[in-house]
Amino acid sequence: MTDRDEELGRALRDLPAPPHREGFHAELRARLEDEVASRRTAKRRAWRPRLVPALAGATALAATIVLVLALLPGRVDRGIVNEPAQAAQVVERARAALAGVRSLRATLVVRQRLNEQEPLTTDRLRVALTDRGDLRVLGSAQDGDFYYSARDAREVQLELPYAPGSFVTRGVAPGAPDGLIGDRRLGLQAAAITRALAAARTGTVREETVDGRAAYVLRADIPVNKLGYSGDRLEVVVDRQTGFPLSVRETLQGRLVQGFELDDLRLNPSLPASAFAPDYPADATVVDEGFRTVPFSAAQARVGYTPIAPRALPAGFGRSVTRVATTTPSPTGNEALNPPSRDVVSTAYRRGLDTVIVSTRRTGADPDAWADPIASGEGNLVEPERVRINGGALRGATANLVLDPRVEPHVYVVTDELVVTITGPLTREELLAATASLG
Amino acid sequence: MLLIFIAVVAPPQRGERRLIKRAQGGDVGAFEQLLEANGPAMRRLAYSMLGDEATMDDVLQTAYVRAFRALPKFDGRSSFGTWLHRIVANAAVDELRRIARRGEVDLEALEGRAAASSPDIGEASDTRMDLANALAGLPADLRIVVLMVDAEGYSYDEVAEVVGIPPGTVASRLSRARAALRPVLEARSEAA
Repeated sequence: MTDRDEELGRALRDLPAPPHREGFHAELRARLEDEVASRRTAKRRAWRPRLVPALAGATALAATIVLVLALLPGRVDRGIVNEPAQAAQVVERARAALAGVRSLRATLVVRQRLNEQEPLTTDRLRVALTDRGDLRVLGSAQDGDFYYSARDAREVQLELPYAPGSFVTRGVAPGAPDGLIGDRRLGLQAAAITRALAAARTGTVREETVDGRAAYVLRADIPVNKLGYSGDRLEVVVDRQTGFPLSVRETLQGRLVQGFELDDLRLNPSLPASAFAPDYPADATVVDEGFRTVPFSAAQARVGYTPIAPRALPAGFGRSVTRVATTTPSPTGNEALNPPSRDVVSTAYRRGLDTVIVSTRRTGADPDAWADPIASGEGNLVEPERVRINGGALRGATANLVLDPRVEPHVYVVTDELVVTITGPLTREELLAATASLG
Repeated sequence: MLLIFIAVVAPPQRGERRLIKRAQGGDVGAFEQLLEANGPAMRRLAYSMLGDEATMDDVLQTAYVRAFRALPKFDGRSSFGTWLHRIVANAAVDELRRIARRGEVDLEALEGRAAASSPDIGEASDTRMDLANALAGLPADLRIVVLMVDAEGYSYDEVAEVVGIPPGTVASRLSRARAALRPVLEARSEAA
């Protein structure tokens, strides 16, 4: 709600502001150059170019593929199936298929419009991913080639059109809120549109014929980002025969904002770990985000507190990897405004191509300074549902539950000692059960 | 109103996007160009909220370094100015909280910090001077809200999130702030 006094606003904006003090700009430049230097020495802060949304969209679709596969693989009765029980039944029936996907290779056609005035751009990307967590995106005209090796906890970005040289980032966290993995966080935000639909059961599913093929079409209205350019409707078209998406479209008043189409899909191709760990030039910029892989049982010795783990995740999820960092390269949250992260433990639980990330970090001196660590994007303000935790190590604390179309479903909890996050394609009930089982 | 709309929601343009890319790649000069384009608006926001020139500069330096640090996360769907605006507003609120804690006083007690140090507004009209003084005389918690909502176009929900208060409190503080500032504008209208 906004009730704005325009006249007063104009008058306030018309007030003058004093100039900066002498030396302000020189001081600022020195601080910024220190920032760059600290990135380059890779001791405290990583440095790397980010992937633009087109490439992040690749990861989005990759994740969306998994979700849609999970969401709609079985037979759906004719007509709309938006009754909660039916939608839940579809989701549950589909989950068995998810666990069977070990790897995937496809050509991804990404169409997007950065804002209202911009023309639609098209990128054809060759994507591959595995149930180990590897990701490869090749052929982007905007972003070059990208590799993430789960085995090595390393990203490689080659042939960037907009910056000289290649970039290697090692010590990458396994996932949100720390591990961007080619800004996969952004990708996951887009993917989360469908994930959140599954979680919230707000969409509708209808059988239709699309381009001559029998398809399931999932549609839902989504909230418009208040500050940025975004859509008001999401549509996912899934091939009825194969259970895979033909397209994902986000539109604003019927106009395409971004869309993904999948071509040449291959399931379970042979993709060895080496396929995600390319050679890179000797002069590549190498930085370190500080995460190190350790056995879960060894994490305590590294961070100085007892890490916690969920005892209740959906069937099939198993612990995949734990990484720890004493500090991280960037604060969490929208615009990175949370306090610095210290003594982080981040553990990935995997089932097929899906991942749940559980992270803990020290709260520090001011618990009130923490906002949602899983940033939901510029201008996209999400009000969490607050739920008292009724079991486990966090009993009595308040869980902040976030199920929103633009962010991966998640829970965050801020106690006097720790900030805890659970992020993944889980339902409300599953997230709460996982939170209450932490121990 | 149109101008404000543009200021709040205008997406990044091609030239700005190139600067953002370069700044994301560590180009300090490109980042400085982005700041230069947004500097007056940021100074106005920070000064109006903080009411003190030295504090304004300190907060803006902190905010700009934060922005540089966070820039790799900027996804370009809002304008750089909008994004930077949120960072500056958050940094100013943080500083006001720090001031309140340091002095063991509530934000509400931080009244009139700027009254003695209003900027030199040169040949500004009496009305502008009066409004500047009235704004400076407001408690900080009211000042923040009226600036964010009326001057900068934030919604109640957004202000609530940034300041850390319920939306209903935003509404009540806004009402009190307007009640204090409105007479200045009305006096101008009557004089005209």
